Amino acid sequence: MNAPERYEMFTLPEGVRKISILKDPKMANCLQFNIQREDHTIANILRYQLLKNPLVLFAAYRSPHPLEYYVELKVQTTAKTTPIDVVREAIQALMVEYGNIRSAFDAEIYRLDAPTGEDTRRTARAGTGYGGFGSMDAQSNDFGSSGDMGGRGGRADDVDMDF
Amino acid sequence: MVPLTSHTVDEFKLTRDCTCTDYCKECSVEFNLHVKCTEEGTRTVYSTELISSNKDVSPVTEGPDDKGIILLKLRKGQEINIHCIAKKGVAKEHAKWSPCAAVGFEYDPHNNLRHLDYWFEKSVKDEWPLSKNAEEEMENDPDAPFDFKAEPTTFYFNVETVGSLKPQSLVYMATRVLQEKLGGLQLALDEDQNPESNAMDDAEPWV
Repeated sequence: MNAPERYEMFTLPEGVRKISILKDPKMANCLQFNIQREDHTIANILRYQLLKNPLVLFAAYRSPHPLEYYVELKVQTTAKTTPIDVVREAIQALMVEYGNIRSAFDAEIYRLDAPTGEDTRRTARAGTGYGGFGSMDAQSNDFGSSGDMGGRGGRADDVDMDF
Repeated sequence: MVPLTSHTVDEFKLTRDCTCTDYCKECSVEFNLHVKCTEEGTRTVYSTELISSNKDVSPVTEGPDDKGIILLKLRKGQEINIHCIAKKGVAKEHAKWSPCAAVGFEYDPHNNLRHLDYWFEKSVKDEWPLSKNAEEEMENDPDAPFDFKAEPTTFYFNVETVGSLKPQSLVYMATRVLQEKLGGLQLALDEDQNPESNAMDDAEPWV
């Protein structure tokens, strides 16, 4: 009866800030980010990405109440940086990561749809590598073996240069 | 619930954001259905009999011979004349807007990383069949020393949709939505850095 409207889960009300930043009085270099209208989807990946950063001493989130549509993200860093900066970096890294996943996915779809495509799916597994990065040739571009799209770093970075 | 072909979904606005008062063609699609049963027996009404106002949006079918989903059944003399409005939405508000029927997820099908501790009677190998994804990876040599620092690098997803979108577009859109969400956060953080809009002004400086 007095349940909030469902759309309040994801529509930011007028005059409410998407992120409000609170200082933690008991911990040095620690900020709490209250992120409005987001849930585990964002908070969890952000926390995970933050924990990969060696400068982050503490990163955790919680969703205080099921009917309060925000998450609290608390981040503590070493004195070398600030929580805001590491959160920025984490967001940036995740954006790049999803971009890479998408372009690798796109390339794979393109390869499967390619008219010349007899199925080039790898028969041998690990170590086949993928040849021919510079070309859009569906045959030589065995993105299928770039299986670690979800993984981090390294070679995912050069995936998107074709596109 | 009747899935509607949604490959043009990006061209629609949310009614909430639309300038119209009730609904319009920019934020919704109208469907009409007018059937009367005149013959003996039951007249079954299928979703394909809905007449759409937008050629790109129609009830999902499995092929040209598929009549779609049964909406209702009429007996002799009964008649239905309805006007339906389809609007765009987000599955977080209601699952009817979810194009996704099922998602399967797996990593490390050989359990090389030993994240799983299988229960078995006599032999793990015999009692736990390998999934199809196991063909994609090699099993570690059981005699080799266990690499406790190894992390999963390959993840397997099975994506099934209800037919309103192709699974390919679904994955594509998912990455895009995540990026949009992150982009929103980044914008919000930049705003917070702006001293004028910052409620933290009167507090001590951070750090």
